[in-house]
Amino acid sequence: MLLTINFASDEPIYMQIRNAVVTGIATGVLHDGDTLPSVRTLGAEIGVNLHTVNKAYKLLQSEGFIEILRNHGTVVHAGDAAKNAAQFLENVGESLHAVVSEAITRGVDRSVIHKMIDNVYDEIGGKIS
Amino acid sequence: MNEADLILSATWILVAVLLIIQPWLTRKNVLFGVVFGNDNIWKDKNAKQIRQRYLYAMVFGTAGITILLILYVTLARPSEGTTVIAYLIGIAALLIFGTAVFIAFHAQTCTLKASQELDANLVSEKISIETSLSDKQTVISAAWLLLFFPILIATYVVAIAGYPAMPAKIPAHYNSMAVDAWTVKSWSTVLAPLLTETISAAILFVCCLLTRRAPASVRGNPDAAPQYYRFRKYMIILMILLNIFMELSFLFIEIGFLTPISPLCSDLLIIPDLILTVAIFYIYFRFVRVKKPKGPILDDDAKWVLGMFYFNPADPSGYIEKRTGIGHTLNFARPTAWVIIVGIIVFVVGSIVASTH
Repeated sequence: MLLTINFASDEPIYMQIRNAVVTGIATGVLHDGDTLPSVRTLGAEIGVNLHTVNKAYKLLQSEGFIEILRNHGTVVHAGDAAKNAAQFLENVGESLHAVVSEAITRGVDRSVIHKMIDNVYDEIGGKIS
Repeated sequence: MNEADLILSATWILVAVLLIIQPWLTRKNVLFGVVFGNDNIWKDKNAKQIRQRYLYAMVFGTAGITILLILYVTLARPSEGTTVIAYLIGIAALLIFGTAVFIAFHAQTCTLKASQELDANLVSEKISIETSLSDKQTVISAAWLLLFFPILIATYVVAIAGYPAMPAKIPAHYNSMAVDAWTVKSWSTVLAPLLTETISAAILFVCCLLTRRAPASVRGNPDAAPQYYRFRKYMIILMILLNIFMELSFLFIEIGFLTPISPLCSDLLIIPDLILTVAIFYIYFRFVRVKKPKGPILDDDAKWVLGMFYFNPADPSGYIEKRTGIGHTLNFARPTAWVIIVGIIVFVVGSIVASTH
């Protein structure tokens, strides 16, 4: 996968790395079991602090998109569940962006949005379970 | 002309020639440290004129400095020590002159670039990396570097374990056929070649270590420097081979202290040394000059002060490859770079002071 980092972008570099991997999984460029460069290699290649890469990898790991194995490096986890989640994040990204932009212009605090999402999760999650 | 004069003259010519042909050694899309979107710039009329003017300035300048030195040595007939000092001042003058001319032509090239239409291939803030390439594919195994040690250790063993068995008088110099000067055996005469060998091997070792990886912050994108991984691997293997032959010549010197050996052994090493030197230039030419850069190319002119000093606080790398594609430089935005510079100055000044007292 060709990972492109834009230093002029407002988006933090760790988010760019994370988003690139998510997009890679969603679009089928990254497959299950593909390896990603080590934190050290990627940091040196892009010319950014190792913590930045580590932050991206930790985030991807917590979201279940990658697995960091002690002796086998960083492996992409692109099973059906991960692929679905990646596709969802890809698709919903723009509409979420629009919702948050509107919230900001209307002066709605982020904690209110967080709370709203929590409530929706509780409401629907409660019904499903 | 004796051997020392020959070495000094050869070094002088090498430095002068490398300074003069500098623009013809870099990648075709880089001119005087200014990066362009593709190698069409090489055929550009204005760029050709800039190179031509540089050639005239450098040829006349270096010839002038060379003539001044020759005049001084032939007319004033200084002592051997003063000649060496004059020679070193001359080399410094060559380097300062070369750098000043480079900076002037860097400025001209910047003006040329500013006058041209913005090249779509040039991206200023984007870096691309191919994530599917593993370290195994791109970086030569560190195990290769172990080849630095066997002969080096053997030389130490021969020198130290063989010392008691060495005769009271040991060879100090060989001509092409046999020993033509002898010296009294002492630890300093026996260990002196080892010191030179260790320093030379250490320099080559560091060169190999630094050549193993090239950050994309310099390459720009996977196709800006095509097949660069292979180029670096070849270069490292050639440097390791060069080092092996260099170490062998020192091993022969130490064995020669123990028992007379034919000078032919050392002389024959010149052949692989020459072949390897030619191979290094050939591979450099094939990968850096012939291969065409493709796709987006990182325009990081702003991070290269005067086209030669890298200053990028956002880049954590301390050492980076020169944008020309060969050699390394320090990231002067990192404190370690300054520590190294001060260290080198202290070492050089210290060794000069130590040798004169």
